[in-house]
Amino acid sequence: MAESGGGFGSLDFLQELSGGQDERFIELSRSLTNNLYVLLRSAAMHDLDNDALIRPTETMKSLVAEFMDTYGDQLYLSLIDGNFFINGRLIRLDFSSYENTRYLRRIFEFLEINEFGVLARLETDHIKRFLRAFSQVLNERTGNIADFPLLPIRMRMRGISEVDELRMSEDPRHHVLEVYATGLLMLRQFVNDLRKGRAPRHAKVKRLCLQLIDLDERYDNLLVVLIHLEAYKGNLFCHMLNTGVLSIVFGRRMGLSRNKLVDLGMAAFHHDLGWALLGTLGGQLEDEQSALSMSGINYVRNQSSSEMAEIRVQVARALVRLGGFNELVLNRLIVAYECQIPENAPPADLYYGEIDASFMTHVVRMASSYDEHTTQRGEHRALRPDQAMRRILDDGGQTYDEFLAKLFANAIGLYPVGTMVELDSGDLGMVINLPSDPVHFNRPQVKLIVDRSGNRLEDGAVLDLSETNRGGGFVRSVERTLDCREYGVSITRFFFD
Amino acid sequence: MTNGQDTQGHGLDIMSQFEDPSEEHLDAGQRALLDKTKTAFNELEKLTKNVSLYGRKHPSVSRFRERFLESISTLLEELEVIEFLIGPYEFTLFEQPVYQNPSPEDNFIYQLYLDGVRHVAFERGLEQDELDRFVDILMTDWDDPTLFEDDMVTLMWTENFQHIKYVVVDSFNEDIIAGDEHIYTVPGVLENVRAKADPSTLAPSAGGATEGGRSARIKALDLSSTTLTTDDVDGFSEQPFAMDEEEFLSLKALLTTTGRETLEKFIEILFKVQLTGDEDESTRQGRITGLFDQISALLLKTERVGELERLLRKIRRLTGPKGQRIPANVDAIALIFRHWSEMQFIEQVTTQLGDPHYRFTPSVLAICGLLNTTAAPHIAQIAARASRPDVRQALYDLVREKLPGQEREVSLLLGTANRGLAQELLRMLAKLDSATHLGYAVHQAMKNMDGAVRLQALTVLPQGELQRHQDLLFSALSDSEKGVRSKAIHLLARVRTPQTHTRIMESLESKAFATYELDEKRRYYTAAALTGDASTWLMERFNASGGLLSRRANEHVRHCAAVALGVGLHRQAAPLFEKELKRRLKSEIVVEGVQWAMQHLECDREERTRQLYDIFFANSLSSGRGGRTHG
Repeated sequence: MAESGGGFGSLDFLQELSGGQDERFIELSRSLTNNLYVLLRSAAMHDLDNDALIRPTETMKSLVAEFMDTYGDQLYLSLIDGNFFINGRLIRLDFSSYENTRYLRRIFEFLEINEFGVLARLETDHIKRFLRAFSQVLNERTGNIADFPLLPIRMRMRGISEVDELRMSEDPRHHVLEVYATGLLMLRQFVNDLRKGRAPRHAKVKRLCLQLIDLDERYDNLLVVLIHLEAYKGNLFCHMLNTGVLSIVFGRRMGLSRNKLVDLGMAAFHHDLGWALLGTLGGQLEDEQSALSMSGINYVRNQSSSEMAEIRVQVARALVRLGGFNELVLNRLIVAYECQIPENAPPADLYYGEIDASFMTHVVRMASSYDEHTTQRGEHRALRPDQAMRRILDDGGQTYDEFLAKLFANAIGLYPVGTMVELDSGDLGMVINLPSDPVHFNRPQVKLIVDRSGNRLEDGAVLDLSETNRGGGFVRSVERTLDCREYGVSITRFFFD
Repeated sequence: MTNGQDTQGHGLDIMSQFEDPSEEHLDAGQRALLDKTKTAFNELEKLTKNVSLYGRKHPSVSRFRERFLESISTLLEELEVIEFLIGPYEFTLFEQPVYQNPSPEDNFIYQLYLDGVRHVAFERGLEQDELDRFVDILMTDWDDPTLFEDDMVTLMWTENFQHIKYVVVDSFNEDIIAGDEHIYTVPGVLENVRAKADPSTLAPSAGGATEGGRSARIKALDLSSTTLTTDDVDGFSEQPFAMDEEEFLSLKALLTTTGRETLEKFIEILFKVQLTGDEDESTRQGRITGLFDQISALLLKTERVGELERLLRKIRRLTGPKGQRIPANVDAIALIFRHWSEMQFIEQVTTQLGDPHYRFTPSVLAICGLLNTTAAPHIAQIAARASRPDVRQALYDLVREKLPGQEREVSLLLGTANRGLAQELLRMLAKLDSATHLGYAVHQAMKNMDGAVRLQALTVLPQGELQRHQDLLFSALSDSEKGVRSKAIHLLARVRTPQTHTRIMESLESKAFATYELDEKRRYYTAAALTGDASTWLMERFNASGGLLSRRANEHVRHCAAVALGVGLHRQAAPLFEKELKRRLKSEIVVEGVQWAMQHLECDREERTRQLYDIFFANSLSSGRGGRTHG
């Protein structure tokens, strides 16, 4: 988005730089699509040796060559939901190109394909062979063009993608998974764009936030589980997402309005993003990649409290330089600034006057800490979900606001989703949902996986530990918690397999 | 090779199968609906054009808004819901375009498409407000910098429509980079979600050396494939969360308190962030002012004028730890206020002051009050345009407060000020008791096109300072307006110096003078008589037969000479006067002047003063009896 001069937009040149590359990509995509249509139409109307095919053939060769030189050595023109994409990017069509693609779409449908792929540079013979096949299918109305040996051109009906599969599934877990997985990759791309000097696509981050807020609250537990997806934990982009997820779930349970949730979620996404723009921070980090990992960030953050004020300002400035200004930026900047304090230190002395950290900062810090505590850091083993929650709850107000820490534990549960527990009955189970009664926040819902005799249960019962017997006593209680990895249980697999 | 002829002959026929279906395949009901839909979109087109021309809030727009709703409502009388497919350049219904815009620029259809919106549906129950908000989104000005992280989808989400539904496709595919590691693809993520527990993440000590046999036995079980079942998932329900009253109140208080401090914190952070950096001074200054402009624009846009006032107060009193002054802050604060004391900011802040129901008037006035004194001329201009008298007066009061040090800048306004503004400013400047500033102000005012302003300017010149301003008064003698010249000659009449006298005498000889009306000529002659001894010259003029002058002009000269001789108390002229009265052929005008002069010579001082007053301020001569002798 354009910025007025001298404001926040110190990184606006990124927009221009990548904007230039984008422009060429858009032009090439458009020309390729148009030219493919012209080729097919000419082939339908003329003999294949007709002069009319010379020009579109040559054009196709040169367009493919330029595309491959600049954007990679494979080109896929895909038809998805009636729209054309090149290498996954929606083609920006002008009106006349759009008119052509309407024909092209019907040609694809006639050919029963949804992808036109080019796997290497094209020669005239390749194109002739392809057109001959097209002409044959068109005139004889037999055979499938996908069956013709046309390499390096490949035409096929591609199956639905994994994302579409998730999207179309009836299983609510798949929808949650789709939002989380695509969000994870999008945030990674967002961070990488920033690092590599490409214009960040802010609207996508906001849309992810909205999607998380819109998820059915019945499945908040599934969202919280995904925080324990180990393969990505410790990366800045994953930490951004996990902090956002937990903040939004907590905010929703607190009854925050939709707009407040957006504010909170965006603040959570951005709270450590400034680090991505700081490089090695004056040589304090070994390499620039360290700024993209939480271990690198925490290394600097925990080193010296005397330099913390300067670091805080640097992170905030980096965020400011991201560009853009609106209502949300105010709170986002404050949260990012206030979150730059050493681990286990209270958010004190942040301002000249006696002003405390904001509500959102407290929430984001708790969510952030929960994610970090449950992440393996060097020699330090990742804490179990309940241990991470205990750290926050038992902090005694030293690091977190005591009142909010209690609410946080009440809302997420003293035994958060994904905690493996042994009950006083001797059964083993997995906490599968948020506490139904905040008064009994230490009495989660548990799915049994091993019975008291030590037998594995194929489909164990789901117990609500707040259930009482006739005498008013609880039927079962948590005796102790276990590290599910020691029992070969992956938290995410347990919920999503 | 062949040339470009259709050698297959049936090529065109073959291609025709790929054309879009026409309306012909629709049934009568569908066609009727299609027509009504096109009508509805015609209304939308008119509405959007009207909004583009006149803005969203223009009264004429509401009529078009109503018509669009009416046309959509007509459709919804037949259908519970009507849904349109969105292409890059068209809305379609039954595969037929119902609304097209072939331009990629300023095209909300294209924007919807790019942002992933593929279907829009209107549901029965749609009301004006909801439809208006939807249209407003379509008409979004995407150059607005505050929308840097918004698109059609986020804006529609924010509106939380109840009867407008939309389907969005996410383009997250674009974030999956070809050739990226598998782990960073959706299948890669799914694989990791479903992967078995990784024992390598366990610390070497883990494993429960102290555990008993049961634990070991359980660990020996293969629990890796234990999962939730579909039934378990189906059994999930929303887990309500309720706080007790005390917790609720505490949370509410926390939210309110920290929310109130947002602006204060933000400003302090910005000062820390913006004041450091390795760019040059002008870049840094541009960054600071640009940033604070954005903040003010945001607060004004969202009608948070009270917060803007608080922001200014906060910046004004911003100090370092324990109230210490931070020089860099002081400089930046000065820069911001210098910048905001310019016209652009003041105009933005005061835009709505004309609205009698505007609830932020006190805040706007307070903001103006917080600005530097350099804001004075700009506030004055705003005041001149203010339609509400109370607001206008309040703004003038602010100008008065800020006037010291800004006299010249404020005076510069007088060259173009309207009468109201000029009057206020001249009044203020006159009270300053500074001849230098006032002189400058009057000089500026004398450049004003409006003669009334120039006249006002002359009226504020203090009596005791007239000699100081005599050059200005001399210039005013050549003014195009009679009133201004008359005022100037009246003032000059009090400056009894040879220089003044000479200058007035020169005026009497000027070409322009001959064109003046009698009353004005009389004033000049009177001033000549009051500023020096012109008796000889006047006697000559009285006796002159006219020479090249016309009869009428000659009569004027003799009339004025008689009056001036009277004013100068030149009794030696009395015989001439008597002789004139005895002439058989007499001029009424000359006689009038002579009679007046003769009676004036007999008046006491008080009466003479009164009569002089009449010469300068009335168009006629008055005699000692109080009667008018000439009109």
